[in-house]
Amino acid sequence: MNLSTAPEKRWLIVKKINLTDRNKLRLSQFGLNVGSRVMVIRKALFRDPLQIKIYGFFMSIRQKDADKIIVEIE
Amino acid sequence: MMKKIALIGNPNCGKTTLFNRLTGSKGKIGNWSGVTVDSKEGKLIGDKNTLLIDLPGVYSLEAFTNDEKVVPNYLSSNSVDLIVNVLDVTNLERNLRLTLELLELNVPVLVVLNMADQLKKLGGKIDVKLLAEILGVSIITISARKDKNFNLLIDKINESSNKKLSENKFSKRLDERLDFINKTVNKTLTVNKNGSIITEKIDDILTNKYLCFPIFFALMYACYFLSGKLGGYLSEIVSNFFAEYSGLTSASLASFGTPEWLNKLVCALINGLGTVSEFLPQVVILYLCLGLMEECGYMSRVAFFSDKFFRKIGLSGKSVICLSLSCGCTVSGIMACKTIEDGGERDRTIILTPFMPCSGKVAVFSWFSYKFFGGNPLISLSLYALSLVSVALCGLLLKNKKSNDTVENIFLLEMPPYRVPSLRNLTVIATEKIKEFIIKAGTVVFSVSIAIWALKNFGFSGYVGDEIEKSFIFFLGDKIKYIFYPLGFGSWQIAVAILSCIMAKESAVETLSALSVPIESLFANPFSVYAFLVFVLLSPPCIASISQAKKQLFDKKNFAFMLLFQTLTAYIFALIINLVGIIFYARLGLIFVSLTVIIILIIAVAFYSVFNPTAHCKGCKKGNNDLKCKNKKLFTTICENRKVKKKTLCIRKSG
Repeated sequence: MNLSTAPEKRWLIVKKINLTDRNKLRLSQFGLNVGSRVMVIRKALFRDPLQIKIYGFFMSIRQKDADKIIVEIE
Repeated sequence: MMKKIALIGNPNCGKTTLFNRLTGSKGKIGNWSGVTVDSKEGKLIGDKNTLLIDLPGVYSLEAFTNDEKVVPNYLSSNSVDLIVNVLDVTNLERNLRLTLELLELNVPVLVVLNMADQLKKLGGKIDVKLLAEILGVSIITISARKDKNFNLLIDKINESSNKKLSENKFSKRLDERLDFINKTVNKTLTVNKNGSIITEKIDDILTNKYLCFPIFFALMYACYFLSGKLGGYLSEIVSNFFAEYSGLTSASLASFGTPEWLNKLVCALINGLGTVSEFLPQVVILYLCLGLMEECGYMSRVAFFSDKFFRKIGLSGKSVICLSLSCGCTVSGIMACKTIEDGGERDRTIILTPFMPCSGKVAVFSWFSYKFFGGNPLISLSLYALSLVSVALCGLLLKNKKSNDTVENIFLLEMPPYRVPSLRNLTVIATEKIKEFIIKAGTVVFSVSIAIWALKNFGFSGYVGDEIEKSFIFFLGDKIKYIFYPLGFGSWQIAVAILSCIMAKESAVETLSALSVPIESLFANPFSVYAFLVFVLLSPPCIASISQAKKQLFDKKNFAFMLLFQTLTAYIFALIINLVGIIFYARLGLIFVSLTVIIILIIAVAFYSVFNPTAHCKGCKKGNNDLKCKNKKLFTTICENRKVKKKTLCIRKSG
């Protein structure tokens, strides 16, 4: 499943990221790379964007980008 | 020799708070709290030879946005004696990535673990010795807000700048580095409690799907209400003071036998200062309110829940921050646009941001609403709403306007945990604003007052005194006033007032009160007054903002477009309002009105089609930017670049 369809408030592990290299680098600057633990906290109105938790801080990410991040429940 | 020390670290880790503390809050004016977009310098307290430089927050030296690029640019073009790397100790993994990159540079690094107090609250502990050993640097823990270990920090700074570089070598490969960081953190940091509970609880309310917008509007209303009421009360005190002072001065000068022109000049200066100073209390309070919201971390939440809506008008959540900063001063709003990665979006935000009512415009609104509408708060509020509407409409209009830099960039925004705003930072905001205001008063207001006095009292035939029809100012205004006839304020005084807005929007008030004419006679009807306010609201901002916009614009050709677009928007909106007024009051020919409206529409459409360089491949004649053009085929036509573009927009090379 991808990040936008994953259940909220459960820890997830990132399995694959289907983005351009540039965007992957940007994500990894925030600590989001294959193998990191994330949790979807909430979704804004219309399910976009998502508020996710990585390592202990919060980030907001758009649905179309979250669609490209494949995760698994821990 | 001046020692240079750079403060580098992740965003939101307290660099600026530390900077304010280390320089005794004497940094140069230029940045807004929470959004450091450019370098800022200040001298270390107690040491005249050490210069401290506050830089924007970065996650890594491989910068993405313009504000992040400031850091590697600064490091490559300046030789720094010491880098003070500020880390948020509650977020060690992410922060250490930058640290490792900094250790590779040929500069001594002092690692400062900030937010030690937060760590303590979480019941966490950090093994500083072990960490220092692993990294090969000296480390010190502080808490910038609580002033813990502060003197120790200053000692270490003086010590470290003479130290040798780190001897430890770290792997160049990213994955190995990240692994190394993970292991290091596991070895040195222990945290017991989950720290983000309070933040999450507050977020549950503030970013709740249904409550977020009402709460936001309520908070903005509260800001304006507070600045209006409390500021208004203080304003009265200020204006009374200046009125008395001016009267006294005039009387005493006259008693000394000073020539009339000199007497008038001095009084003009005092009055000019007075009219503008009246608004200082309101402005400072507004700034404090906005600063409070940014300091505690609320603004990123606003960007979060409004992102989707802003995307409908071609902007993003980050633009919300720029727009709300513009409510303080348009210059700050435009500077904050540096954080937007996409060039086209940045340009559109820069064009739309000045539509928000800045403090100067609010000054004009309150003066006019006091004169004409009995101080009704609905006037300012409706103008604020109108600015939002015009941002939305014009955003839609400009949406297809693409600059050369449109890479599908990912949108990521950090939402820092809620923090009690530091009182010191707020004080810095207030004092900086007051300083800025005094400088502005001393330069712009001063020169505008003199200019108006000169243009008013002198004409082609020399000194004219009270015969205002012979003065320069009349000559100037008389020629331009015709443009404003359709808007309901075609008088030379208003024309001159609008011209003076180029220096600062507040100058309109100054100019009109200096010309001391019954204001009511200058407007055709109450709707014309409102139309004038709308014109002031939407027309191009003061020269400070315009020059800042020129600096920030991605595509320089958009500069002329920006000025034309804003002027036209202001004109059209004001015209529509005045037409409503004409229908309402004079019940004049509906034909006249409809003709005018049609002419406006034709001009607008012509302007838009001529000046809107919508990027579309010449191949697809429908000019669709969508995936499927009307021929039901995928957008696969061959463009000038001789490449077949499937799902992306074919960007025409600029000629």
